[in-house]
Amino acid sequence: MNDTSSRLLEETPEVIASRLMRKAYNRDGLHEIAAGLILLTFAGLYSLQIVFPFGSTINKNASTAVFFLMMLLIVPVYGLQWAIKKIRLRFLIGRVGYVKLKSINRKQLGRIIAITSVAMIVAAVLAAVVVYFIASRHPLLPFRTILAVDGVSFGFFAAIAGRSTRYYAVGGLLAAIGILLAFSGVSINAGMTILYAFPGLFCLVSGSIALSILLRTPAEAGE
Amino acid sequence: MSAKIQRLAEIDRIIHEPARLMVVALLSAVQEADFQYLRQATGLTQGNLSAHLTKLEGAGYVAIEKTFRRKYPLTLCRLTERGKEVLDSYRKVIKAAL
Repeated sequence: MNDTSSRLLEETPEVIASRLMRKAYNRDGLHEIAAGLILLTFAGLYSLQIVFPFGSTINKNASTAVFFLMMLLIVPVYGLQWAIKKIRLRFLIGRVGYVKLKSINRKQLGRIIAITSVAMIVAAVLAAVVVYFIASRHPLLPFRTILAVDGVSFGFFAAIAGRSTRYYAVGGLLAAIGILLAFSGVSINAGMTILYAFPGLFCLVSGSIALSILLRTPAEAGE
Repeated sequence: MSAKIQRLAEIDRIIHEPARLMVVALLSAVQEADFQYLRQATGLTQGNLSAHLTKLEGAGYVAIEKTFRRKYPLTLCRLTERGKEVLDSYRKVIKAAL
């Protein structure tokens, strides 16, 4: 508490409050479960490209799905945000409470649009590069560096999105696995499957543990 | 400088208490929050938070509304205009003095 009062001198109440809110928000693990599902979806799609031979219909469809999912990553992300909000209000309100955020002003809206645009451009470029190197079976080696680029960039996004210990762990895991895979001899599809499967499972497990801990604590009635 | 230091004597004691300062800072960043949410975010006990909210409501810094969402009872808290002004002036005084 003294920490809060001393921080008030250096930071705005909004910064302190958003930190406290993030801490309370991450308590139920729903965001991690959602992130885990997205990562495992990517891993599943890449694994389909290993199982089914290059040029087959399923392989092509999986490759196309990866491309569009990366380009339109914002859709499942916002879709799951909406679902999380509904689940919280429907089932977890007695445990996590209710909060209504301030409506966003023009400056915040501009920032959101700018961040979303940059994220979409980065995702689209990454998707295009991955698909190009996979489809063309490029003889040059650098294609594997895309694993490191993917791992580090997604790890960075995960860390800044969650800004909590568990998210830093996921971000670090993504980056470390990406870099390790870039130096290994695995194929790009196997690399992508591993890159997304491990952090995906980590997110799913840590989120599920957080949720089960929350559900075990008895719900307290509002004051 | 001494004039700025002397202004510390006029500081609002209701908002100066760390737990209440935390509640007010939290409410300043949201439109409204319920009791349970504030309890989770601040880490205060139910009785402690309740006592602090009563004080803040008594001073006119926080508005409290008891309502229901589905079958769940909600105690909605929001910072009043007076509360916003007091928090703002508190920050200015403390920053100027230290």
